[in-house]
Amino acid sequence: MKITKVDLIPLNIPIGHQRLLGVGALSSIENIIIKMYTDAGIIGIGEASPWGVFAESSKSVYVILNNYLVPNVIGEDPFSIEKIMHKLDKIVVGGSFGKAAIEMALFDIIGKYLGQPLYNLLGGMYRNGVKLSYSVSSQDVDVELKEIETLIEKGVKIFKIKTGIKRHEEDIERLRRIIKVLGNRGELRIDYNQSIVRENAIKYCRQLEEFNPTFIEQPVPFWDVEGLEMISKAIDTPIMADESVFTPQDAMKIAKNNAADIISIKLMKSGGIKRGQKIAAISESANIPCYAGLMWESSVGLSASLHLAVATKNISYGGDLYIPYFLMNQDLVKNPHRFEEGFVIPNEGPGLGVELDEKIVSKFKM
Amino acid sequence: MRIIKMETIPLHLPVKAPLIESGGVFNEFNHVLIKLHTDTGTVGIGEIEAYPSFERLGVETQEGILAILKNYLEPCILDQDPFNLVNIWQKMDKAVEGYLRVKAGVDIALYDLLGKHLGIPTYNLLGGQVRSEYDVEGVGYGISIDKPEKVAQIAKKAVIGGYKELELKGGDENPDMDIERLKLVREAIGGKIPIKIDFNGYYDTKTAIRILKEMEKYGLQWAEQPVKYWDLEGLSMVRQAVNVKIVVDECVETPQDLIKVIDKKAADAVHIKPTIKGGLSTAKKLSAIAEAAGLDVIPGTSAPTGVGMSAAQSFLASVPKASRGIHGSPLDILVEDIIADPIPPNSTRIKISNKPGLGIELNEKVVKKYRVD
Repeated sequence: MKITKVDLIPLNIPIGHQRLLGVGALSSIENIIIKMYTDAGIIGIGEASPWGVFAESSKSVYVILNNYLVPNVIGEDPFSIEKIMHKLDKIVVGGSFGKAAIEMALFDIIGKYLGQPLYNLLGGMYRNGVKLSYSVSSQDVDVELKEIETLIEKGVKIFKIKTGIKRHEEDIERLRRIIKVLGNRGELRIDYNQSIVRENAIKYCRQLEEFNPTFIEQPVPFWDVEGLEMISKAIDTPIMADESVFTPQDAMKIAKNNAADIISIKLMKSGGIKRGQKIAAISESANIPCYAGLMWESSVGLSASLHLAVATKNISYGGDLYIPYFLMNQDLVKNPHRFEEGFVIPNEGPGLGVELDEKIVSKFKM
Repeated sequence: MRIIKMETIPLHLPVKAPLIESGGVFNEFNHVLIKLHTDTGTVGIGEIEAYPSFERLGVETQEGILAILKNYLEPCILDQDPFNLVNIWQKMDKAVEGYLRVKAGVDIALYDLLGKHLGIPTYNLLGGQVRSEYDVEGVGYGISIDKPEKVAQIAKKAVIGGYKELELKGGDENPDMDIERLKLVREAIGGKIPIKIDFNGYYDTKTAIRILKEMEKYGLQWAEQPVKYWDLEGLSMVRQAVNVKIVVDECVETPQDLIKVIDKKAADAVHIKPTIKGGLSTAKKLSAIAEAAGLDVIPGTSAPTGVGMSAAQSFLASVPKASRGIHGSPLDILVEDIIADPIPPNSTRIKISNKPGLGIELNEKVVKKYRVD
């Protein structure tokens, strides 16, 4: 079996309301869908979910895919994932967003060829479903309280509050009000997206411990691993590394220095499932659990993270699976995975297990 | 698909010549073959090696292996869907702590099963094929510790025969004999062939540094386990003191062990043997950790039949960067191999099978001949 063609479809997907996070603002989602064709008649799908303020922009990801990555996968055997990804590494350093999209399409093809859901090729169904975390980020507390109430009714059990945009005192007030509404109906998590200065981080995080969050994510800039380590060692609440860990080498650095308590794996950061697995293995050996982070994927990209999290014991903190269910105005697939009682449960179909809704894809095409 | 039966077959395998290591002598091998039968008719094959416990921690007797399989691991496997590797491992780890080489045999049999069921070679379940053939690390399972003239003769014959890398066994009451062996080998074969000496954890730190510094003069590329497996600080000191690349083997049985080695900066390379270090599942994790820490990966085997060898080959086929080849044909040391189409003895370059699963079938006649139950 050989790859014969790859189509790239850049999209602009509208969202309910603007999101403000520590690292930047989001007003619409500019994902790129890829369709990978083979001479066996099997088509694999993938998705890149870029975000300029985080790492890569949609235009640069498109260029990397179109000019560098896609031409170098034509003619390859989709089973040869390590070989292909190493080849792509020699052509582009980094470029993990495009590489992730390509790699998940390879896995989709393999799953479809073998007639197996992807989780069966990654270690099997270790857990039936993955806990869905919703990120609260409109930064208008009254809107957020209504949002939380509505989502609790819809079955969401985990809320991750994006902090660090407003003043710290305002965040505290906001969290007080959220906790009052949330009560014991849901689990609270906090994400700073790199927005605290190091000298305040320990003090601020300590003050947030009043709210008993499950973890506090990426308090300081991604490059300040020493700062992250200091905070992790000073604070009782687990500190999760997100932007500080892209690659397995980054994970090794955190593991060696015990610089974080949890690591967020995002396929867009790692450059695909295989490297996500490697990060999970490195973290596991250092007794550091992982989280299934997402950028802004629809159910296409979400599927890849979902299958990995279902099959990987060490990815035990759930994931940012809310985007296609509760952020996008419309999802890109006909058959999203079932969301039930707070968990996303993977479809049993082969490969990623989801089918593109071509009408919607066309509608959002740029 | 469900596993309906686990068959265990103890084997006694005679050798052509004893293997002499620093810790002792292997005059025979006593393996346990595993066959996992499923309701679809597909059968997965694995093996577990029992050998003298001087070799390393975690070696189990043949009787012990059979008991662990029957009493602890079989209940974890029966009625399970073989795709559920992570779940099965969790059950096995809950049933009994350790015994990684026994669990390795089960893991390998599961991978054989999955490959056969799906009609694909096992390396396609490990990330796909990166290489289709390899240069063998000769000779046999390493050139036995012996008189320097004899070792040099074997090395010379090997290089003439086409071997491109050699492994010598080391670790001697008289350390200068190790130096003498290397000296004579180099006189016989020149300086081009990369050599690894496997000391199997014999020396103290100072002696190791002294002799490795001497050996550097003659040309030594790799030194495996020069000091005791538990002495990571000592190993780190050796590594800082010499230019020879340090390989860990017995130090690392688990991913947690490897993190410790990396933490202590004790190694340049890790010898990853799927047949004894928790199977292909664990080999994948070990190689991920090594890769991220910049350690060389040396895929390897211990003392397999063609069954265990095929598992090492599946791993070697899929590892992105492998710094050395694996041992050659089991027939270099065993009187008979238990697989149909065994690798011919004295093979210096081996092609990796692309048949489904591990790519091998048993020779049931030979299995019957050597079974001891």
